[in-house]
Amino acid sequence: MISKAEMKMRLRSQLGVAVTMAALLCAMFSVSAEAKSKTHKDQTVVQLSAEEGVQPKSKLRVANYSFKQMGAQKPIMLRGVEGSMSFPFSVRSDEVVVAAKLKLSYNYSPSMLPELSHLMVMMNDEVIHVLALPHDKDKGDANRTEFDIDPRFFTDFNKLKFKLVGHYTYKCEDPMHSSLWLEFSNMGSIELTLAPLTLENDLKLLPLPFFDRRDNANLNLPFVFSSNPSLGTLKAAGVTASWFGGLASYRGARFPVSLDQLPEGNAVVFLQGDEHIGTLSGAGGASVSLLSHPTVPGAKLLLVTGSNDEEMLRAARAITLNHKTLTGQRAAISESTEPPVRKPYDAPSWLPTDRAVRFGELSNLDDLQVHGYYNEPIKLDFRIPPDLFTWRSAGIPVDLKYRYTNLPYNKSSSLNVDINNRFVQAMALNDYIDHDSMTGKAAALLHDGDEAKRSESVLIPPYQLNARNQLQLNYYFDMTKEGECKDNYLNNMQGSIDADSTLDFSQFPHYAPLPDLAAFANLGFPYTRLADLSQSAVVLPAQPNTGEIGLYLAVMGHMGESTGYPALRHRLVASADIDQVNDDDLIVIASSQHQDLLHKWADYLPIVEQDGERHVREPNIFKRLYYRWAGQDTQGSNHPEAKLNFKGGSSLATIMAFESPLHAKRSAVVMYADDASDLGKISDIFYSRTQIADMQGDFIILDNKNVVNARVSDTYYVGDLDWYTRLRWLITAHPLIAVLLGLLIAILLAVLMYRMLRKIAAKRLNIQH
Amino acid sequence: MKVKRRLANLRARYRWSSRSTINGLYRYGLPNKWGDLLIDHQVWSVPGVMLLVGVACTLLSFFIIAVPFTLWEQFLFSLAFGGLAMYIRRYVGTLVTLVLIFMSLIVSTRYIYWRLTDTFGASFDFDMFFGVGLIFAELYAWLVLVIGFFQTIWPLKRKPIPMPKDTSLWPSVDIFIPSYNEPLAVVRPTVIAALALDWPRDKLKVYILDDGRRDEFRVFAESVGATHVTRTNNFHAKAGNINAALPNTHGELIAIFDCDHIPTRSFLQMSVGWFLADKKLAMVQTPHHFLSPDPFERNLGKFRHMPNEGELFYGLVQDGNDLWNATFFCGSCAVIRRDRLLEVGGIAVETVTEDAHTALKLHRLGYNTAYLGIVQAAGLATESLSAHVGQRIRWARGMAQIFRVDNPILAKGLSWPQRLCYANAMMHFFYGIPRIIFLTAPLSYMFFQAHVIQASADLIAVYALPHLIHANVAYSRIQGKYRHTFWAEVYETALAWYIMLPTTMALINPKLGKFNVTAKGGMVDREYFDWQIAGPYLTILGLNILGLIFGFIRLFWWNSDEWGTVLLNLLWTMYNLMLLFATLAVAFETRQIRRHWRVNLNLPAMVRLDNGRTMTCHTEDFSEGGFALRMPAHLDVEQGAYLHLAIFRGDREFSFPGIVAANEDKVLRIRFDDMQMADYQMLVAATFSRGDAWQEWLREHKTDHPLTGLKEVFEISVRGFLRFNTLLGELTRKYYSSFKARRKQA
Repeated sequence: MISKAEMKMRLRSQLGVAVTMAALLCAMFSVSAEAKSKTHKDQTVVQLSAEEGVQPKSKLRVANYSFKQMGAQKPIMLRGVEGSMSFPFSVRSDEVVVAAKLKLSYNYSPSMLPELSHLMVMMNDEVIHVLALPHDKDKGDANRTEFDIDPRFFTDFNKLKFKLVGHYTYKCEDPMHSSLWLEFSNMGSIELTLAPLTLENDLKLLPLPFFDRRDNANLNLPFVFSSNPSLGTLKAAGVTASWFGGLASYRGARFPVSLDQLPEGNAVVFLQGDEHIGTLSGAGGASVSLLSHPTVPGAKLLLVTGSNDEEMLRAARAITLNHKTLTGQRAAISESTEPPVRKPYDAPSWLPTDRAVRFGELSNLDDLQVHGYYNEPIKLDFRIPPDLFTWRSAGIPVDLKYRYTNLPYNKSSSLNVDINNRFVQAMALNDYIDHDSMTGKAAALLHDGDEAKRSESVLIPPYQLNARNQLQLNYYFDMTKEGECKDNYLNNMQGSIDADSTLDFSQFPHYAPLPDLAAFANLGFPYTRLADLSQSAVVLPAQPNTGEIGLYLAVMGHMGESTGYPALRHRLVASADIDQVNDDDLIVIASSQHQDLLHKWADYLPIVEQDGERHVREPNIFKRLYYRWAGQDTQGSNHPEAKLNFKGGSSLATIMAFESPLHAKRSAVVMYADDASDLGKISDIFYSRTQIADMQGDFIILDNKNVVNARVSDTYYVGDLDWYTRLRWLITAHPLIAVLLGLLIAILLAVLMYRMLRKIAAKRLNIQH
Repeated sequence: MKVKRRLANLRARYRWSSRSTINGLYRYGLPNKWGDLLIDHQVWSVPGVMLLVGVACTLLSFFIIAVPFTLWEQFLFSLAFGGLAMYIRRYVGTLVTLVLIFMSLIVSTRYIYWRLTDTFGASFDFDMFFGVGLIFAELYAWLVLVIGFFQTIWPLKRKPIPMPKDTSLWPSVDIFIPSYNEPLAVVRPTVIAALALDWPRDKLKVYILDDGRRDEFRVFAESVGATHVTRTNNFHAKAGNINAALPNTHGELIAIFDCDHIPTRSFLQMSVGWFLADKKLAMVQTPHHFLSPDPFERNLGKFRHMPNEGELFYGLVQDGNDLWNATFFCGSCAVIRRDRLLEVGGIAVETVTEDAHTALKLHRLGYNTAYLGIVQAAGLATESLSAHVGQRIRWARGMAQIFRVDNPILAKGLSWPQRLCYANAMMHFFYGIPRIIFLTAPLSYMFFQAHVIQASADLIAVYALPHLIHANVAYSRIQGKYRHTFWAEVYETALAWYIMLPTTMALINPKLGKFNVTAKGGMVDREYFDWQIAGPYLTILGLNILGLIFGFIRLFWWNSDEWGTVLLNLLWTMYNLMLLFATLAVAFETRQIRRHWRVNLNLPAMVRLDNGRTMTCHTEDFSEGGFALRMPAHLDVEQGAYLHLAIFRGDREFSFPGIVAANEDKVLRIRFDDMQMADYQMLVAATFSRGDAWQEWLREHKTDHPLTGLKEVFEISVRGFLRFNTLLGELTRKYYSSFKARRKQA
């Protein structure tokens, strides 16, 4: 029984809560009012600029963003008294929202009281819609609803938030009761009607309008050349493509090529000397211009010109490195200093492997902390060179420093460490020490208030690492149930990871077996070992066609995406001039019209042509046995499907990797298609990234749907190992070497011992003789 | 028949084609020729090459040892490496032995490295408790293996140096025969043989150091021309006895014989030569040879069929020690320079193994010792198991004491090889605890399901088996003549429990425990089972049988999911049971009824009957009590008839009166009747003290083959099992009948 006094107390406290709530509401209201007025102001600015160039209705574009596209991989579940979830999305800077519609499909717990429960929808922290949750709906089916959103609520970067206010009883309740739930499908979406905005022709906007980071869609940017571009022009385009590839990042970039003809829409145009397309001309020396499309209103062209190959490259370099200093409609690039040559493994988007790296370098401070009982994991993305030699290592040391709200009753809380969605280690967060029972400095040192600061050394198993990784740190806070009416839901649980925590790859040497197309597909390895590709060369036919140029640009885009740095120093040569680059890592692009090099290298290729039929070169029996022994026999080396495909014969598209015939320890990747248009299939791999996982082994055949891989060529090793590790590794790889070496050692030591003992024995027996 | 012939043809052809010649047990073939070329190749004479190759090989061997393999890789490695070892072991020669040793070192060290780095769980728990014990035992075994190789790697096989023609250059020698409570009958032949040593009379003195202060001895000494020496106390037992005699004697050299070790006449001529050659030589040791079987040999019926414990030590270890100038003094059958002995303060008295300790002190002063592997004396072995155990306890305790008091590893003045040899001699006696751990380790799994080795059973097998096989192959190669594989395990098992406590106690405090005298020359007059000695083993045996039962239950029901582990533990338990039953077989004391031990001896002899008839014949065996003769034809003579026996040594004739004790077909047994001292001296001169008396002692053994050793131990073990079952049956019946009788009475 509850005593009267207690009743009073509780009443009073409830009253207190009500008052506080009211005050809070007031405050919120005023804040949102302020925000509203602010957005209004922003909106007017945008609208002003929009009014200038608002297009006719027909030019409106309708974009549909599903919650899945915004990052929800699963249906969204809101739980508890105040469950919430928010989704960020953005609007391109050359577009403006003129109408918006939210489409929801949701279901909710029938146990919730309709009088008290509702779902709030907020845009940029303002409530835009409230959904009642009545009882009388048909509970079996999902409720569908659509409503319009006032376009004035939108800014460039937006946050759509759903918040469930749910109650199941009038009496005291468990704030985390399992009947408090609402789930809505991740296929629900926000539909935006967008009107284009015309931007001014000013280079300072670069990379706008060609690339907008607000846009999560793939980058599709046509590159335009004259009918017969020089290799120097193409190289300038390659450098530019690598820059755009890096900008596009996860979105993927596609660079359709058109010769002598402007596409409908934004494009980058490369013209050298007296080349010209329509009114555009390459004359006037090294320059970069931002022009309006002559025929398509609103579309822009980036014109890169130069009077020779060197000037073309200079202009391209200016775009990639100095675009922030370019202003106006046209900028002449009189002179630009070359940046210093990159050092191995220093690509900006790669994790430095020569030292321990602070978490602060990988993420900003806000992303390193979480709040609330249900929180998202803290995620740290990092890329590591694919040639790190982690053999027989216990793991990659992560020195983790973390803090968290440490309360006496959260005994089962933990911090879980995952790598690439695989569990690594969990730390219990339950070392609460009762301060009353502790005296002196020790307690103060251990605990800074109720916030414990701890550190832990975690070892990440090397076999769970890929080229691209995500370290996930999950705070799980225990919710202790104290009993009916005693739980007060205080959302004060916080956790943070110190920016001083480190991730250390410095102990691992660089040494890897090649050919490995997985490394090539993931991070452009081994070409990206130097971020500016200064030891790489691309070999094109002397007169490349659009397919070959398109693949070249796609590969360069992939390189830029892999390193985060433009491929400034790669060499581009015609296949006849391959001897100029014989000590480089080579990328060869060819189709049946241009395959002189393939004839020359016939002995090295994994394909053999016999009687007009092509076969995969089978590794000899010893190698096959060895591959099986070493577990490298991916899918069987003589794949029957591959053979069938050859006999069909007409449209082979393949990627082959092997050691460069020109130089030991150098790599060659050959991309070849019978039909130049099929080279696009290869480009698509880099562009869509969905088939990247199928890129394995050293020999890949693409048909319309599948990627078939095999392992055919000889293995070679790049990188350096100290002799100690190398020998250890060699012996492990070949137990029979160990046997012979062991026997040799035994024999030599036996001989030495024999001679020594014979001498000692003679000395012992010849005393005074 | 045809098939057989064809096989024989094939075999002959194979032999011819391999171009190897069979040389005793091993072949001589191409590998030997290559080996010889390699050993004497001129590349080695380039300065620095040997050092360089040695360092490089040692470094490289670390890779082989430390390299991690998966199950199949390790299996392949072991198979290939083991196969190579098996192939080259067919060839003769020390180089091949050395190669086998190094191969064994690589494989065994690889095993230990793997055990240390890969088979430990992260946390200290129940499993770990047993695991640490086991790894300790394994480390011990590995260390003893390694130092053991080192110690016996090159037996020196020292030959005697002939004495100069001029006898005035020969040093004077005192013979010390210490005695405490042995009967005169035991001491008498020793003294007489000592007096008969081939040495200038004026330079030889025989002293009976009688701590029993017995008149009988004094009278005997006076009658034969020896000196009877006594002292007023018995401090420090034998060591004190010898030390007390030192001031009263003056010979340059002192030869010490236990009172039952009868020297041959050539003893001094053989052993003293080296003192003249090497001025720094302080001691020469010769082997101890036993006429009678030790309890193991007797109770297992293996006397003269295979080497006993001592033969490994005197046949190989001491000879191996000699290379490193680390031959130990063994208390008897040795010659010591008086001045050197006085320099170290006489025989050491701080420990109960005074002999080894004295040698250690001599070595510390930089003096040399030598070992002469020619049997120049013979004596009696301990007669009962309990006495044998008592003696070993004393040795073990003494060695542990030296380890504490005068640790050879830390002691100054020793060379490193000497340190290692001494360390191994001492460490050898610490096998008590490791052996008990090996005997009980599988039980921790059987009973508690503790995984003492944190690895899968197949992985353990591919690491441990090669280690055991290589070690045994190498050891069998070195020691085959002196020790049979697996027998050492039986010896160790039998003694482990008793040695465990004294060694441990002595390590903690060298003063703990007390000296006990080894009784000799007695008789075991009835067959019995030594319950007291066998007690601890019965307990361990019981546990192992229980473990076996548990094991089968685990194999089929409880742990059928990890049957590999269960099977491994079961096999281990069975091996342990085999050792334990063999130990039980030792505890069945067989009767030892003879007063005197018969010694095989083949000499030309002649029998002359009272009626003047003579017949030449050969002796078959002899003892102090008489002779057995093999006659060319049956001699018609009655039991109890008197006759004369003449034995020839060179051109000298010894003649004894005797009585026919038995006459069976062509074997005539003659008992001596009422022997006079002169006759007795003659008998000793003709038999025990013959220079070539014990030359043949090693040739009687079969050479070792590891699997034969296993078979032998298995047979003994089965015998132990059967006999123990019978004994239990008898006891039950006895108990049952007495129970019935009591009930009847009631």
